[in-house]
Amino acid sequence: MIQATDQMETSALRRQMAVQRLQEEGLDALLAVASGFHSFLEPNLAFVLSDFKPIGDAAVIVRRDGSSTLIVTPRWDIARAAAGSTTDQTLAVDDLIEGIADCLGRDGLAPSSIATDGIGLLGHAMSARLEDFLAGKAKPLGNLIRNLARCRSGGEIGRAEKATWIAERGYERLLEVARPGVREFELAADIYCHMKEIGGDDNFLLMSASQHNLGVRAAGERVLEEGDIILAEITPSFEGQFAQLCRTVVIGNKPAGYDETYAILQRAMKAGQAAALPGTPMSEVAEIINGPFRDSGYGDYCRPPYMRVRGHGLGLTSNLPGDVSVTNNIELEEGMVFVMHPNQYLPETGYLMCGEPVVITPDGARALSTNSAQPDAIEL
Amino acid sequence: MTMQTMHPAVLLGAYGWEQSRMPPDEFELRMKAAHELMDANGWRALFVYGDAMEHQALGFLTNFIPRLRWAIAMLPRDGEPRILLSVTQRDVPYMGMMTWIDDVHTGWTWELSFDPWLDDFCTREDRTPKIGLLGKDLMRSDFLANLGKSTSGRITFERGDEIFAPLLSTKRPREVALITDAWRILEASADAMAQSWQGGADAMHAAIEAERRARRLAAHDVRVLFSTDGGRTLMPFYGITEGRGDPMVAYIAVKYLGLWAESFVTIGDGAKPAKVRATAALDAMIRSAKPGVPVSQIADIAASHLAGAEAHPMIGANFGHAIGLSMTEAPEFTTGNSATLQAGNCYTVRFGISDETDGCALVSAMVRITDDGNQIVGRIA
Repeated sequence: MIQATDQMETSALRRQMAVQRLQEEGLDALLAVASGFHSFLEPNLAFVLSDFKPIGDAAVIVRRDGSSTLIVTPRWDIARAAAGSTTDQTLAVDDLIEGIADCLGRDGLAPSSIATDGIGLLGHAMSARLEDFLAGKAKPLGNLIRNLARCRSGGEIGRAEKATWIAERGYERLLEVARPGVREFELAADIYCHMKEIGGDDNFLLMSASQHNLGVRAAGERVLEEGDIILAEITPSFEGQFAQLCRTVVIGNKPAGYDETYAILQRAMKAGQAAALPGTPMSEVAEIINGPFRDSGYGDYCRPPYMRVRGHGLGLTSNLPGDVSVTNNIELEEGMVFVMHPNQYLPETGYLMCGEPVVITPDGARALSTNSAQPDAIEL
Repeated sequence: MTMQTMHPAVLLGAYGWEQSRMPPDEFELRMKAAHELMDANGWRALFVYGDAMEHQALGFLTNFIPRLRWAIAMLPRDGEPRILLSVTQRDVPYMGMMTWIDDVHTGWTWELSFDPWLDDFCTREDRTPKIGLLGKDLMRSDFLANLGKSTSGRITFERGDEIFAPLLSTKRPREVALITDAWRILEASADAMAQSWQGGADAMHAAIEAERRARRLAAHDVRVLFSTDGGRTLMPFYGITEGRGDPMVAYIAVKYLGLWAESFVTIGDGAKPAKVRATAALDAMIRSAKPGVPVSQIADIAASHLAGAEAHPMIGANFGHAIGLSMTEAPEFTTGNSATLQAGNCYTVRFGISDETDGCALVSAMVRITDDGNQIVGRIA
């Protein structure tokens, strides 16, 4: 876990780490770019280096002397950017490439003296113009920021905990308002706006229902009915830190075998948390999560389409450690944050969801949530 | 200056293929028009790419709108089309319900879903075929690399965005009806915002009420920007924000079944002189909106109404634009833009003022250009 202090914001510390890399490379500046296409599964490099979530395309220039400039679009967002960014200087422009060129030009920074990161995350219109400007002379340091930010700071974990708190309130709200006759999209609208009111600044919310789910999807027009099993992937962000809860709740009486089947998912979750120690390969954690399913005779279901992965990283900081998957050999480190979810299709009950956001500690994966997933039911 | 809002992590509103509103024959008509353009340019197929942020052409030709990530449709002049979605195989059946294309695959296994289709296509073609490409500007480098690896030396791409622009900007009656429906949701959303703010809520909560109302009315997407400083600046929702401001100034955009409606909203009497001036300017701009009128003329009228005051930063020098499958479509109403208003198209006309004495106001209207003038789709008083 990186140690941000009260005197230094995490983004400033990350810029300092970038400066170290510049010194190693013998380069004068880092140009990190990001688009306005926000994904909860990807880092936004401008956000990581400035603490400011931009509306549009943006860039941060970190110089070897440690000074930094955030450049955002659109121009009218300057007041918010200046107030929110931790960089030394904040600029707002209508055209990002022109803004970058102007800024580098003023500093006398030639493309051959700078490193870049994030160009691959831009659309072709922007990336091609930027590549033209750099004329092939800049040094790409792909995934530099993603790697620097792979472990959360204490402050970031605090924000992830707040995001988790918001998600738990969202789920409580779902339990309050989900009733027969309500359409899925109406329920989603209610809990989405409820989470906004308490600080959720974005939300990857999937929520759907069926008597026998094959997976979770975005809320549709379906009218909820007694006997439906609601699946909810509740993923609010608080100040740019996403956290995800995976929950399952039946409307009315639980179907036969529901509690027993769900208990397999709970055992898998606990086994995964215990196994996720610093230094452990993620692939090993995924295998251990699969264990309770195999032990219960469901080994053949530990593959798509019955499940996809056993969890994944979360943006906007860094999506590392990546998927909780048997093919991901990354070693876990203290301070990594991701969602662990042994969500699983089983023939008796359909797809069930059980998952918590976790942080890696010396004792394993600590859930950020207060309450762990249960085989819930809404009494009618 | 195009309108920008904070893009959400996922488009979470209810949305499928509503065939009672957008029937299969609509897409037959669109594909017929596409075929005419393909024939005129010697293209043997059309590849159409879109992502969750921008999907005008993809939505127009396939009805598919990515909720996250991307999709690409391969539409041959002869033969069966295929669409690849950046979702898991498990999600393909559900997501595929959004489009009339039957052959839907995950794009995550490119070599299994794209390459065989291309092999089949190239086998049917006599020589290296030309293919029109829409949406290249949106593609990331890894996607372009995959596309290039599969197609290199086998087909020739020609950019088609400009060629297709006039077709995409035409609004047929069914589209106008959906834009009108989107406007009705927006109007209800603005009402909710006004009621909340006038009832004592702060700007953030009033903005959330607007979003809640729109989402409960089945909006596919809702974007709200709001002000806490009487309209000097607008911001996206980003955590708890205190402050009411007077007037309450906001921007609301609502998408319904693929079509956008948008409006600025200025509520309250805190900047009445500014709102009176802005309203007068907007009246004059709307009066001049007729087929064949250069958009620069509308911009000039707007500029003349500034009378020395600063244009609001949200507006800058752009006093309107077309709207439909994209929140902001060409042309922009700027001085010097020789593009003209087209009968049948829908436009946002907008004006904003930021004045030390009179205060701030942002107003707008959506109009449809008719054969001899315009019809107001919607305008918030």
